[in-house]
Amino acid sequence: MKFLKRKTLPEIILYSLVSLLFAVVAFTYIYILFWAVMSGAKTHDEIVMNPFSFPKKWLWSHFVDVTRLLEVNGNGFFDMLFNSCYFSIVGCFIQQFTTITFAYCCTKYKFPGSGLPYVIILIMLTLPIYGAGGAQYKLFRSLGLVDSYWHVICSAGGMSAQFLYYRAFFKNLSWTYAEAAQIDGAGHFQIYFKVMLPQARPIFGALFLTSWLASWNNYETALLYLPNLPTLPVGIYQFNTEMMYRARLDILFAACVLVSIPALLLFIAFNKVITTNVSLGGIKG
Amino acid sequence: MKKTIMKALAVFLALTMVSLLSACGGKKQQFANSATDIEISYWNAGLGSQWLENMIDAFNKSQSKYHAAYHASANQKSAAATYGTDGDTVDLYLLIMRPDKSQMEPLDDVLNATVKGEGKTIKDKFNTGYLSMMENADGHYYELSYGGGVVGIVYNKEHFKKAGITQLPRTTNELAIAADKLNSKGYTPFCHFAAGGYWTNMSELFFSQYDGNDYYVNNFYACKDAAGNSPTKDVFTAKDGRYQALKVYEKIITPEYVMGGSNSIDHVNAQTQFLNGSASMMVSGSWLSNEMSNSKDKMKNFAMMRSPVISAITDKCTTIKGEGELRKVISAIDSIADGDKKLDDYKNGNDYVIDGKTISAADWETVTNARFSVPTNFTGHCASIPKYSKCVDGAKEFLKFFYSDKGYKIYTKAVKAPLPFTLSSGDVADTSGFSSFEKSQFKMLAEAKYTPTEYIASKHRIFTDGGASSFCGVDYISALCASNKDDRKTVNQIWDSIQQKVEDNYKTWVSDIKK
Repeated sequence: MKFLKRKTLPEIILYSLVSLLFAVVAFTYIYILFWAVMSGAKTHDEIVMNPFSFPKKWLWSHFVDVTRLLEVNGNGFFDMLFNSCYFSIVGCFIQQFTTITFAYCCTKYKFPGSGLPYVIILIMLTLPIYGAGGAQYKLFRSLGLVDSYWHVICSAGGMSAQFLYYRAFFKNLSWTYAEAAQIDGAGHFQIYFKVMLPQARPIFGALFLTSWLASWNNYETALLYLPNLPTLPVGIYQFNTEMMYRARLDILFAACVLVSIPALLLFIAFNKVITTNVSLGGIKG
Repeated sequence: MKKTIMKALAVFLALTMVSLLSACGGKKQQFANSATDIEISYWNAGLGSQWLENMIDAFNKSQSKYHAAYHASANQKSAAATYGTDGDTVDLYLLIMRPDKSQMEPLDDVLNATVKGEGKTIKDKFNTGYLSMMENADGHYYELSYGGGVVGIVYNKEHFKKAGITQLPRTTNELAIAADKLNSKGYTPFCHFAAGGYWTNMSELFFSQYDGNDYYVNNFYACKDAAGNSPTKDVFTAKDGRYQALKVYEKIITPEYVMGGSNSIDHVNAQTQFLNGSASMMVSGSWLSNEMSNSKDKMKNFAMMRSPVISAITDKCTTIKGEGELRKVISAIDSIADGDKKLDDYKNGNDYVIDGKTISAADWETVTNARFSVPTNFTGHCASIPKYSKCVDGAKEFLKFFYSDKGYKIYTKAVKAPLPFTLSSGDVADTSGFSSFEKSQFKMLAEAKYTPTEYIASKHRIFTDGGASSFCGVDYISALCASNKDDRKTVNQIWDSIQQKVEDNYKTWVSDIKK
């Protein structure tokens, strides 16, 4: 109320309208989630005939049926859950670790070409991925990385877009921490692992989470490179394709809800970490 | 709140860890590219995959020389993606009919084989009308069906009863009258799905009924005129049964008679709405009960009618004058098929007598052939073996097993739909326990003399290489019932569009025929 007392009437009206607009936008996001949960608990016929009505009976069993019905090339729900966890967690960790290490080396050590990766990554970001897709597929196939759990090492390039964030972070991180450690007798590895990397924990965690979210939802990579090791998004994609010949939209929605739960929970738990720690300005002080 | 979320996360991660362990023993199909391993790529459409799993299990147990395994995709293009590509290891494709036969192994020896313990060849077990469409222009068979079904007009029994329709439509004019009755009672007579839905199958039926199966298969689809000249543009420009089929639709595919949204929804959506009573009739097929298996209780209220005979067929008859006489002839033909009467009850010398009216033998045959032309889409589900397969013999042995009595029983038990062949005894599968809708499919196919289909494309390369088709890709159903008046077209406008397509493309179709 104090806030309102300090405002003029036009300002109050303006703020009210803006707040209303935000509330409407927020409602649309929340309603979509609710609608998906509700559709998962309806029958297929109810979804088609009355897409916006409440179910006559809430069929929560559909969320259990998903584990039985979602199947791709002999891979059941739990196989796909394993693949999703493996490729998203292990893959993202490898990707983030190699990227931060690479960014640290390029930023804190001066050697011929140390600035080149920055330029290369900027150029790579402007190129459409499909331009290199064919060659990349051929390379992975000849290396035996298609349809293999070893595909995860493809994440170890160190040249991802997050390089720019880590580079900006280390640029702003004073080298005096390293100098102090050197005086105490620390070597290069000790400085990196015991002094510099711990300070990068917040940004590492934030970028790991955003990268994990993208990886968890990504179905194109698994669809293309891992046909016999499908992830959950691939399972849903395939199940959606099967909807051309199967009347089970209820199971499709239930599957979508189940698969989005981990990402939603993580975002709810760590949204502050994600939004506050990804700062090009790096740490302060 | 945060603690609760963290606890939930911990539980999720714990479950994940459990799944990591449980996943270690996951079922994975392995494909070895050898002369004894049969790799099958299956388009998992409305038939499901249970039948194939059962078939493979039984085949693998029946012999020890070969081992079959499959992978599937509901996306037809994905299932066919590797066909003809370098490094393709698939030995048997189960897909929609493919135009290019040059990469396929002929299946004549499969057809000519006799399965041990069966008294006739596989070819003799097949429906002859179906085989006539599968025979390629060079006299060989490159694809044979692994599934599909009978197509026809499925109707809502309750709607028909409430609208007072006691006699199922025997002719297309009667179909229009039934639609009018339903509409007057507040029911929407028809629904379909995007791009004309399955009406395209009915168009082929009406076309073949009007011009006769011989012209339909051996002239139109052979691109050959009466004098034997081929290819010829005349078959496309002739105002034949295709025009008559459009004239049928003019009366029934109208904005008032068709469920709103039919032109844009997918077929499962249309089927769902149909089974929930949004429309009274829909062209569908044997797969309906399979695809809509979670609506089994509703299926009891639905049945497939014998396809109506195109009323314009009287143009081709000399002794049947008008709609009334045509209906009487059809009733007589049906009474024989249903066992209520015998042929002798109508026969009088070479001719037939119905209610004191003499019908010539030729007219009787014309109408009988039309009545027992049953649209199917067996040609839309074809098995083929790539020439380059390392396991051609194994794939052929698998097909022989599929076409054996044992294979037939495995398929029909799982899918509950007919195949274009029978048991070696000539009987169809044991349908006890099947629904009346499912049983009717077997009955309709058993009495089928011809099986017209939209996938007949092997008689002339203008249809396979050239890209020609009966209606030249014109979406006439959508045009007839478009809710927007500006998009709506009359039959003559549609026919002109088809003719324009022929004028624009005929030269290209001919030049695209591979030498």
